[in-house]
Amino acid sequence: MIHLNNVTLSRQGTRGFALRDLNFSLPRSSFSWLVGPSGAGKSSLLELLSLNTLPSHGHMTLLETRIDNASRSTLRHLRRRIGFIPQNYRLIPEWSVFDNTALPLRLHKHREADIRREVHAILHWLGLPQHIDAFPPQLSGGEQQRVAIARALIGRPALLIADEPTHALGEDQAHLLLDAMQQLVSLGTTVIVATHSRTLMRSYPAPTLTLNNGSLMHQEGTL
Amino acid sequence: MSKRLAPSFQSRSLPLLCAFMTVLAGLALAGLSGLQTLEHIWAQETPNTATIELPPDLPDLNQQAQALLELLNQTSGVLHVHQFSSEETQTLLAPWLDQGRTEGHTDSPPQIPPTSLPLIITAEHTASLSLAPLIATHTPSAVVEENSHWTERLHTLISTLTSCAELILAITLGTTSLTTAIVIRRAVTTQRTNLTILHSLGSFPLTLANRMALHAAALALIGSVFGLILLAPTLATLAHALSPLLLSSSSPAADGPAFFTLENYTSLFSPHFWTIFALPLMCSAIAWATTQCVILIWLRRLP
Repeated sequence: MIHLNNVTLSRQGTRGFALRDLNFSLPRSSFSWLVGPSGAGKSSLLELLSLNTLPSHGHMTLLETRIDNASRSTLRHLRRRIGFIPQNYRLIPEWSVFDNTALPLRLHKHREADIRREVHAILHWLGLPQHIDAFPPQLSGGEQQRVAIARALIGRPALLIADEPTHALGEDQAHLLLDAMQQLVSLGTTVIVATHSRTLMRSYPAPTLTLNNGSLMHQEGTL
Repeated sequence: MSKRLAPSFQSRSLPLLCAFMTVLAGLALAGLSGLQTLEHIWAQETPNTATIELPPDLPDLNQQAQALLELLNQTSGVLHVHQFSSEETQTLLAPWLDQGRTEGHTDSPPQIPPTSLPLIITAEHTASLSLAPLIATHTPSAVVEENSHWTERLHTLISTLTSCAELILAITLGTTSLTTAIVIRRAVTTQRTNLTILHSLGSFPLTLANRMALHAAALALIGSVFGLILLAPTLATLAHALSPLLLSSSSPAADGPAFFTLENYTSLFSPHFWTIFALPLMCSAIAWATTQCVILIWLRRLP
């Protein structure tokens, strides 16, 4: 499902490395935590797994596809199967909550009536039905994070990557999200979540990848 | 809720730039058209005429003139021969004689004694015939002036001016493309974050480029049409000012009516003039192509 073999990611414009000689594998339908101190390389690894950057060296296989020799078209199709919840939300400020959320479905060319139904359903589930026509700058940080979550989940991705997805959410909403992620895992999705919350990790025990200084310190738990 | 798949293209300066460029290109095109009309008129309406002048001090002037008239009438290719009367010669020379007049003698035209007047003969002939060598052999003292020489010189002048107008047009279009590219690049820069987000979600580059290029093309079209509207009064004023030169004297508009009919304008401008209405489409096409290139090249830099 996910396989990294001696993967290194150089820092742009410097001789340093954001990630160095990473070797690990994650099976399909699994949930994993990604932990490490600030600056350890968690976000860089998640950017790599969401194909926003490509490895400088080494081999990476995502969703049964070798990335290092994949064409641009293959990468584009893979990106459509990946749901990413970035730390800074990455919403398009000029578009409404509806349009931001509907984007993955529109890229998959779903019918507009189906898109409308699904967007309403997921925004209702995330407690945002009243903000459907609002624009991201009009929303609070927590609300923007929920829109980013909605956008990542709505396409039922084969790989879900989340960078601190609960940091702006309340406890109830965080549990609601983690429960939804567990459901996705049972449906075949592979989920990787970067977090600093030990409480959440205790509530949802799962295999953990620990990064430090761009290197994988250890991989604990059964994958 | 619109069906959104790409960021919109927003630029206030693009329509304004296209309006100004349309005005510039339109003026260059109108100048080019005027020159082409003028060249056409000269080519069509100016006959090939030789003006032969026999000096008044020539011995046996009248016999030599008679012999010359007979020679011209017998020469094939000569269409019409006319000998000026002394009154016609006086009238012809009046502008030169007027220059020498002093103040206080404005009531009567100056007169030259008929014996001091040169004898002038004009001969219209076909374009292929050159009368100068024939007359030089027959009457070496005669001075021959072919008006085709002037037509050739004017043709050369018009060719030079046409090249200048074409150069201005090319520079205007080149500058339009370049400045449009700069404006579009700046507008795309403001959408970089959004384009990166859409790219990371797996958007098709051509979809992004097409949608933004269509917005840019529409803005350029609006700006250019506005430029044409701005240009219309200037062109109408120029057309009125130049109508006595450009329209044949038989045309009623040549005398300067208050308003021209479409027929007048059609005869006033060469067919090339009407390409001016293609300028908005050209501006639009330049904006579309430039936006496509800028976005696709920029997206190629992303992984």
